[in-house]
Amino acid sequence: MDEITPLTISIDLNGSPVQSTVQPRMLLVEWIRGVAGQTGTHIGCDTSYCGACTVLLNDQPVKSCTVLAAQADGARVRTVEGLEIDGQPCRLQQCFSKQHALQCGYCTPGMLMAATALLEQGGMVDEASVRKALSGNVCRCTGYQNIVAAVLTAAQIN
Amino acid sequence: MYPAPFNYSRAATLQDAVAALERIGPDAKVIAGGQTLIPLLKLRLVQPVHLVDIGGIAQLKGLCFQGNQIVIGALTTHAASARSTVADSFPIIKDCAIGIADAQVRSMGTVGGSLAECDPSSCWPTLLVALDAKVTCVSPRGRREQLVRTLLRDAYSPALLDFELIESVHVEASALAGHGAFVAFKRAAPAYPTASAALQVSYSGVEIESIRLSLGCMGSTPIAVDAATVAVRGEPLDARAIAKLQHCANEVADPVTDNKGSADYKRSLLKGLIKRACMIVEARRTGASVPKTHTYYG
Repeated sequence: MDEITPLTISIDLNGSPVQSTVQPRMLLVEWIRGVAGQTGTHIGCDTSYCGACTVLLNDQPVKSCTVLAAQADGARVRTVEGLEIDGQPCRLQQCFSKQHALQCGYCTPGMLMAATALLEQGGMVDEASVRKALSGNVCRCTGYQNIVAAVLTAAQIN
Repeated sequence: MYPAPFNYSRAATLQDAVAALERIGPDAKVIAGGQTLIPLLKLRLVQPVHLVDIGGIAQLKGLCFQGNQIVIGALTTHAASARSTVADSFPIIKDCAIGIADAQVRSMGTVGGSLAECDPSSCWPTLLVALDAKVTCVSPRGRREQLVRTLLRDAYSPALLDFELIESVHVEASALAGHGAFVAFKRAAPAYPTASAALQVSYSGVEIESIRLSLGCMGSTPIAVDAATVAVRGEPLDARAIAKLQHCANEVADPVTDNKGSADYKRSLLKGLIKRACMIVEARRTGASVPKTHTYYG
């Protein structure tokens, strides 16, 4: 085995640049949680299926368990911690709260980020487009109805 | 960190990537979007000593018209393909791109990666076989073109030379004449389809002039139904023509029984998919409301 050369990477995490030296094999979700210490992003299935680890990479939703930290070098990453505005939950988070769009809450950070990507795209938002946008996110509690309803309400407010 | 340790470098051009792969040798691998490779790395099913990242090569991203061709850069993501003006003009491309996996995978996964993976269930290969697309490939020995049909010689075994990478995909605009649809049956969004089909029909008036039809998940590679045009040329795309196309497709399909279903089950899905694709194509021709292209039944 060759000697492994660590990489120095710089990622803009929720508006703050974070520089670190990492192993090339480190996953983005491991970097977010372990290196940057932002534990709002959850690891669910770790097989690129459940979407709990969804974050925005240059405004695009990605599963951070299936992106290398090295691939995000120089990029902007937004996590659930970046949704708050002046210390208050954003509209989407308020809609999730008011409409009971979570039970155990484990999938919620990923749901919020996938829904944020949809809302920021600026296209027409209806039930079909919400379900399509969240089709990479698994919730084992709610049955999805209230999650879809909360995103639709947030879209109307927007 | 699940993957076995590897070194990592970035290539500024495809030529640089090819040179790096040749220098490091067969234990190096290239990474584009990584949506297939990273899960394999995490399972340690592949353990490269070095990853060459080509994801930053901006020149290989995007779809555009060049003369009579549509050129798709190998690093164009599924999401970018779905959003492109080219996809707005040709719904079969949009159907295919927007139906792949989920939004998160579409943000990262690339057209070139999908072709190089050579999965028999994968959507781009099925579409590009129907459209008789070509790929331009780059290796230490230079640049060459080959048909996508030639590239996809067997499951997970693309016809690429040592250290050769896909640069771009070329589709003749004439292959997209008429109306088309890409349809699939899937267990869930993130899963590969259980059955899929790409259909492009060119018309003379209301009668069929030519048919481009290929089937995904029905063999070790996407299967082109080359007998389709002769079977239905000059006819309207009605129930009789649909039955003939279903027959032609069933003749060449060779599905296997696996955890997604039995071979017979997949043949029955195929029959329904052909009908659905034909109905969508006719709806697009007449301006009627278009049925859904993708069905999730899990």
